[in-house]
Amino acid sequence: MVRLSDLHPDMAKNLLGLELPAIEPAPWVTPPPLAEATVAIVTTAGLARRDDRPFSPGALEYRLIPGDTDPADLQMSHFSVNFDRSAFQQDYNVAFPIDRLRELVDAGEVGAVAPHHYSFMGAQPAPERLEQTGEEVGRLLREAGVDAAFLTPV
Amino acid sequence: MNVPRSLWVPFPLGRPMGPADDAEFQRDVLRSSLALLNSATEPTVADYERDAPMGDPAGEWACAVALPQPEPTDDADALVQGLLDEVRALAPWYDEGRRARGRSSVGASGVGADQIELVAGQLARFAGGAEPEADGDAAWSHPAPVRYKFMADDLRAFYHEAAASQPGARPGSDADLNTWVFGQTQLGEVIRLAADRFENSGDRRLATLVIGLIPAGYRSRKLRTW
Repeated sequence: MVRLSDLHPDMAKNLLGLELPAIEPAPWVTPPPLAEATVAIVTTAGLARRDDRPFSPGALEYRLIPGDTDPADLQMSHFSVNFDRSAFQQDYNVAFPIDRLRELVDAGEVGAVAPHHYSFMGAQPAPERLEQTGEEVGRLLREAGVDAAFLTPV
Repeated sequence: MNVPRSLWVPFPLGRPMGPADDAEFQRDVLRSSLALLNSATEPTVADYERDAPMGDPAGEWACAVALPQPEPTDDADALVQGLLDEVRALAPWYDEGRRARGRSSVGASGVGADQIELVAGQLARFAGGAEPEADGDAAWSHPAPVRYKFMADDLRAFYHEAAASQPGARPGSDADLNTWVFGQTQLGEVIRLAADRFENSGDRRLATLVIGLIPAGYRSRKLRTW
């Protein structure tokens, strides 16, 4: 999350006006050692494969990003324009760090890359509406033997 | 969200991993985050202490390609011509950027960069209040009018990618690029006119699309330098 002082004043004012929901602690889970853990990326960057359906504004569903997807084929259809889009335009790893994750696996620091990653649309006016889909994705990740999800909020 | 382990990073929105094209830095962010898996014993928010050099918030950056001076107009034909002149002037540098990076982010509207002149023409005609031209059954990703938001995104991406591949001391920051597009180009004015049409439509759903067209702080025409 950016510092408020680094934002355009209009944007900072918008963020300060948002209501913060009360969040209860989640059940605590102890994963295996990182060098044995399977890790997936879950992003809200509104990414989808070019041959998949693009996101519509406020979309609540997810898109699958198979582990063998060429990241150059990822298309962003995020609704918000209030973030630095030039970053993803230059290097997809700033929002979807698949190359970095593969490098840590190759170096033996992380056990494995998950077979599928998941993408949602960010800038949700009512994030609680994502709860059902979010829990489903959690179940699907667990079924796939994934130990940890690395979240990249955009 | 109920995230058990978080790494707070001080990077601009849109860059959760920090600077582009800096694998060592991005690996360190990922490593620092994943390390919490085994080190945290209770819900944790850890601070990432390293700042990343990512250009001045608004510096001395300028587009190296001299674009035609925009003319104040709301005539659809003049808007189309002005926008096409800019797109054609930037096209060699867009092509070079796509070649160098091996990819392009243009395409959210459903048609690729090879049809960017169609995108420009359609958006400028909408902005000028004219009926759309025949589009040869282009595979738009969204129905009108939502598609105009993604056309604007594609054109901004085309301009940004063209600017990023030009010769120059440093790439433009997000603020530099927004100041350029919405202060100095016909594209910025076309997007503002499209926003006017949404706002004046009397349709609340369309009016909300404006926040998806123009970044906060760049709606005013007072920002124009022409």
